[in-house]
Amino acid sequence: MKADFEHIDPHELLVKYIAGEASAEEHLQVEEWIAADAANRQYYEHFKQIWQESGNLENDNVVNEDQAWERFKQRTENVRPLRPRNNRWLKIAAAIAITFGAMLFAKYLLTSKDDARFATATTTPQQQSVASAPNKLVAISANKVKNDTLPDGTTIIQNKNSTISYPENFDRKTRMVNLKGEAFFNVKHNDHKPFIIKVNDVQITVLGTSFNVKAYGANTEVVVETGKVSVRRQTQIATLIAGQKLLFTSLRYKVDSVTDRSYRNYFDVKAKLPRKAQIQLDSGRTYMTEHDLVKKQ
Amino acid sequence: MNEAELRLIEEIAEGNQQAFERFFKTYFKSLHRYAFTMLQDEAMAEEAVQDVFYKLWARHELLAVHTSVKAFLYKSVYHQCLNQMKQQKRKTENEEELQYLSRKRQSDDDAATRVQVSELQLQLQLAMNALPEQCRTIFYMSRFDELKYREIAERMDLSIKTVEAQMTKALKILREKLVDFLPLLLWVLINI
Repeated sequence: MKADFEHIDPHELLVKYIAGEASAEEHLQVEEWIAADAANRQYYEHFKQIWQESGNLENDNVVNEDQAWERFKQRTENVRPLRPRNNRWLKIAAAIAITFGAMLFAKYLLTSKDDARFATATTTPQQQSVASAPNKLVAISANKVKNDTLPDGTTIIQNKNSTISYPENFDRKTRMVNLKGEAFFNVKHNDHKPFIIKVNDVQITVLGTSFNVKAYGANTEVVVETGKVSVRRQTQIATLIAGQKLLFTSLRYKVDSVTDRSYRNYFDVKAKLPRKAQIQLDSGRTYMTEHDLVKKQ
Repeated sequence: MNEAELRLIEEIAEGNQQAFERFFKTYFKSLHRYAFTMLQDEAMAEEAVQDVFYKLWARHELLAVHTSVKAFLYKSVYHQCLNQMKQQKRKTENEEELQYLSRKRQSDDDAATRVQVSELQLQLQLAMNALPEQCRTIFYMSRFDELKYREIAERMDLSIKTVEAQMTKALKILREKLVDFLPLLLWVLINI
């Protein structure tokens, strides 16, 4: 037992002892350690005194959360919160959309020939209409990085081997896009029409920002360059701001800050981009400087 | 984060008022306690916590929970408290806090409402506020919420080993910073 103890940081046990986390056996070990040396005892007394003093900082009076809630309600009474609109209509609309979508899909399965079904898998780097769903546009980048502008003015830079599909005309409430692979989005701002990207089993919602999405295989990575992005997978929800990166693996997700701009290596050769995209990228950079560099330092 | 917490967060994100009330009442006390250790003033502590909830209420979509709800709230309250201290007077950070706390002590002494706060306590508060974030959160959960290491590990999605290590780190940092204020005690002990 003694030999074991020497391999453990005695201070760790000491803290456990003080915090009431030590087992009976650890109790003995600690007491032995304290008794062994005056310096040990001093160390113990220091820890103990800090622990006790910190307890004195606590408030003895009991606050009442019900009364606090009443005060909170008064404060919010005359203000309408930004978000809590009733989204029952949204749900109904979604249900209708899903039903309708399922019907379309069933029809597609029944009527399409094999060549039409695999239209999205071809390697022509061009926009094309899928025969079965005439309003759906599919942009495929085969072996080169590709720029694209969506009907709403959003610009996309698509990495190799990536597919983006979207309706020829967005519906009235949302701008819905499907992605496979990797792409950088510079979303045209529109408060009334959230831009939604479906990628793997993840849904990304934004109003107007720029960010990179990478999804080769099961993992999904989102890097936000400007603005704010909300990412959701079933019940996992996260809001990211500029300079943050989120990685979804099969079970967990993780948020980190971005330390470099390597995520845009695949397209960040300015000369290769058309002029329009250059301007947009530049403005993206300016925004980042003003709002986020200060914070990073 | 456990299932119940997740569901609550989701309901709040959907704008459910009752869910928000439950959320408020679940965390208010422990956040108030946290704010009080920093501000040493009940009314100001309440203001800080109310402000944090108000911001969450006004912008539901900002409820970004990456680790645990509690850790997230602790962090928000911490920053809110520091802001309130700053509002009192613009100075460099440590000076500000120290000034705030000494002033506080002064007025409390005058009113004779509190036992005199020792220099040690003053320094302890500064040192606690300056702990690294994860370290501070874990220390508070253990010390003031009286949570077991296992419970902290669960709530923060960490291993118990990490909690142990962070607790030790917290005490070591505090001791290092406070050691100059502790020698009297040592002397007494040797003489016993």
